[in-house]
This record gives sequence, C-alpha cells and structure tokens, in this order.
Amino acid sequence: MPATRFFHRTTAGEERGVAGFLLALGMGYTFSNMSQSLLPKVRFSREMRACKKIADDKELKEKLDRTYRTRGVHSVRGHFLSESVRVDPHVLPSLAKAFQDVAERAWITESFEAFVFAAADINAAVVPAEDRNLVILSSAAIERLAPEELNFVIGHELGHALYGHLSLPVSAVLEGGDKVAPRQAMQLMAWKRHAEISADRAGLMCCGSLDVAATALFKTLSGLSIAGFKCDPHQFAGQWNELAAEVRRTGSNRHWTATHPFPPLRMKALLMFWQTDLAAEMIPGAPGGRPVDEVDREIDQLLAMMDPLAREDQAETGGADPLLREFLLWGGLYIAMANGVVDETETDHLRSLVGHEMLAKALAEEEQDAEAYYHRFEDARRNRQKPLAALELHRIFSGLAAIAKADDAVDDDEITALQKLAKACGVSERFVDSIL
Amino acid sequence: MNDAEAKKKTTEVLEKVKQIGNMAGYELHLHDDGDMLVAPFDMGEGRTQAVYIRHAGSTPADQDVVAFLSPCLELKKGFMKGMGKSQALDILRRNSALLFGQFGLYDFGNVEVLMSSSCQILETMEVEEFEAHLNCVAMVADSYEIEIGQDDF
Repeated sequence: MPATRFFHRTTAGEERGVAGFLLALGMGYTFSNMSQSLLPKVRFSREMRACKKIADDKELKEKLDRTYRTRGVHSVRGHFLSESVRVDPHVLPSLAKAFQDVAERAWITESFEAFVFAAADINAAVVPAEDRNLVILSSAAIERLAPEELNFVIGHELGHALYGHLSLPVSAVLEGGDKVAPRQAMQLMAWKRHAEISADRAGLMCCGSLDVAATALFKTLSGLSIAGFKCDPHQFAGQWNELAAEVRRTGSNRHWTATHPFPPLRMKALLMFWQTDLAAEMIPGAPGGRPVDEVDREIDQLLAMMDPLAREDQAETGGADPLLREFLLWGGLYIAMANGVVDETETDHLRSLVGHEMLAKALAEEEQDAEAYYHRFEDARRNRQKPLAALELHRIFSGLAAIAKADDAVDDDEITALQKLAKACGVSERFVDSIL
Repeated sequence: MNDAEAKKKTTEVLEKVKQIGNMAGYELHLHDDGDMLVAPFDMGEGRTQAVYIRHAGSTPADQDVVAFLSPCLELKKGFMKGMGKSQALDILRRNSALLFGQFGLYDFGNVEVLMSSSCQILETMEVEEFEAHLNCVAMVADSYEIEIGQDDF
C-alpha cells in the first residue's frame, strides 16, 4: 500500500524555532525517492503559505524565536511521567503496537514517547520535550476509538510533529510577555487552523480510509461510542453547509480565536482532499477527479470564514469575502440573468468568486429566473443578523460590477439590475455608475 | 509604525472612506495636505459648512477609527484671548445634550479651533451611519455658528 511509505527526516529535528519550521517546509527532509516522500506531498499548500507570511514578518518571527528559546520544555516529560501513564509494550501492548505501526508507516525516525492521561473526552496532543516529542492521548480516546480510528488520531498528532508545527510556539507567544499586535495574533491563529488541515491529512494517510477518519472525528465531536458505528463522511461534511450558512447569517468575526477549524469544516476539507487526484494516487479507494491546487484554494476559502484578515485579503485580490458569498451568488445570478441569458464568461467569473459547489447547487434549483434570484438576494440580506457594513457593501458591489463586466459588455438591463440591488441596500446610484 | 507606513495606512483608510462616501452619494475630496478628506456642505440660505474626515487612529483591537470634524469657531491664543470660562461651560453643557459626537478644541499653532466631531470604527460603519456622522457634525457646527452670529467655515 503506497500510503505506508512516507519519508525520512534528517536535519529538521536539529533546527528549531522559525528556522526549524522553514526547514520542515521541505528543506529539512531528504527524500531517498519519490515513493518515500508522500507525507510532505499531502501537506495543505495554504498552510505553507500562511507560515511563510509569518516568517516574512520580522517582528513576529523574532518573538516566536525568542519564545521558542526561552520556553520551559525541560519539565514537560516529568509532568507527564508523574500525571499520566507511559505507553509501554508490556503495560499497553495493543496501543504500543498502534504507535509503532503508525510511526513505521510515517517513517518517523525521531524518538517520541506516548502517554495516556485520564479524561472523559476524546482528546490528543503532541508536545515537545527536551530531546523528544510526547504524544498524549486521553483515556476516553483509547476506550472509545477503534484501533484504526486511533491510527487517524495518532497520525494526526505525529503529522504535527513531522510538519514542524511544534517549532512555532504560538500559544506560548500569545500567552507570554511579548506583546503581540491583534493582527499578528489573528495571523498566528489562522496558521494554527491551517496546520490542523495538514495534520488531518497525515492522519488520513495513516489510517488509509475516509470512513475511518470521519468516524474518529464524529466520535470526538459527539462523545458517542456506539459499537460498530460507522460515520458517513458525506453526511457529516454536509453539516458544514448549514454551519457555514449560520456563520454567514451572523456576519460575525469572532471565530478567529479558535485553535481548530470547526469539526464539520475539517470533515469537509478531508472529504474534498479525498476527491483529489493526489489522494487517488496515494490512497487505495480514493476516487480522484479534482486537482489538489483547486481543492486547496477552496478549502482556504472555507477557512477564511474564521479569519477576518483573510476576508480582507480575498476582497483585495478580487476574490469573494467568504461571509458575503451568498450576496455575490444571488446578486451575480440576478445581474447575469438580467438580459435573459447567463453568459458562460459570467458563470465562470461567478464560479471563481463563490466556488464550484455553491454555484452548481444554485443552478440546480428549480426557479431560475431573474426575479427569483433577486428575492434570494433580499432573503440573504433580511436573514443576516448584523447589518451589512459600508465596506462589506463595497465588496459586494465591486464583485457584482465585475460579474456584469465579465463578458466585456455591460448592457442597460444589467445596469438597471445593479441599480435595483443598490437601492435595496441603501447604496447610491452614482456609486453604481462609478464602479461600472 | 514608521512615517512611510503611517502615511500608507492613512491613504488606504481615506480611500475606503472615499468609497463609502461615494456609496452614500457624497463626493469627498482629498485635502491639499493629503491627510484628510473634505466634504463641503451647502446648508441653505447661503451658508456653507465643511466637514473633514481623517484617520484618527486604531482601537486596541487594531481596528481603524475615522473622525468627522466640522469647525465652527477660531480662537486666537494669548493673554485675554481664547475661550472664557462661561463659554467653556456652555460648550460642556452642549456636549451633554448632543445625540452623538462632541465639541472639542483643536490646536493649530497660533490659533485653536472649536470643532464638532464624532468618531466611528471604519470596518463596521454602515452607509447610514456615515451619513449621520457627516450631517450631524455639520449641523451642530453650523447651528453654533448661527447662534454666535458667524459663518467662517
């Protein structure tokens, strides 16, 4: 099974702090051949971009390096030796074997130790100690997860270590004495969430099954451990669509403090990765069909819903603010339909703004006339808890103007449609003229 | 933030405010100094009132704040000049009755200018709020000028 051959790690373990992290972006690993370099290949490309941005911020990089140098890792192992049980082949043979199997699959040559601590929730973490990494699992995780589901969780944690995530002491920086600007804090937390997507992919590679990964995530979130239960990944991922609608409805920016993406978002991201050609190349049973770059871009847009900075970035680069996508979708379809025909270039432009799935779902609906689309736009506006701020309206109407101009000709019907939307939102007609 | 970064930031903020003004149907001009926008108001009956919008700073959460300012009285500095106690108390009493915004004294070297002003977080500002700030500071300043029998601004 190709997924059992990952990579060798060489020097990354010797380098620490941001430099070590950059090594872990690829330079720290040597690949004896391509078949042994599968795990770096599946790493979420946007995570690497996020950490490059962190490294480019000299002030932030210095804070991270300083925190890394001064953090107290010397007492970590002692703490776990006193407060939890070490996974030893004589005491917990099956668990020790699970760790060994996953480590072999992942070609992990660095030493690590595993511990189990008492807790009612399924939980796991990986923490750096002086000369090794420690993987810690809650007792509930051992009791409730099936062996293959544990492989996903262990693979996820080892993935963090292998990708060099432990070299960025984000929590220590945020809780430490160095003052971090709010925007820098947002940047660090956004990277943390991106890192979870990478680690989930490592977990998937280690368990080799989307169903298993979905069940592990489901059990973690629900706390349920029904014997023989198998989670349907599509159904679980479907929960994300409703959650996303809810997040858009509230228009809230408060999710940026979360260390992890919403679990249904993680499931959705795993499902999307599973459908890539890259996954099909490496995991038996994965269907393939989508380029990983395209999928990574879409996952990045999903994660942007939790990141106010990404909302700004996307709007500045002509992409749709993820919390405003519904307005772009319905408003865009209304404008495109204004002259009776939705042009292919308009559809392409709309797709690039709102994503393949959202547009396909809208186009599959029964009512496909301009008025129906206008009412959907109005519904989105009414349903939103927080009134649209002026800058949000600016992003919406700039996007809608771009859709109108997508076919290089803006006709009178399109102008009238745009003006009708503007009037409904309290935006002056003169503004519409100026953006056209 | 060094001077160049601060200038860039101000330019970005003012550009966003200009777009919001455009959405509300107002044409805002960049002041000659380049650090604020100007909205001239025709208050009717031959009276005009200028409103200036500038980047006032950031909240602790790093959100940009813009200030709307409308001048209503120029006060010379020096002995027996400037604002007297009774006028200052009158201004404070007026502040307590204002819906939003306040009067304040702004130092311009050899003169001080009494202005009505209000502040707003840029990112969360709604189109109606923009209009309300703009109109409110203009009306408050103009009403004060009418009361004291001036139309300098």
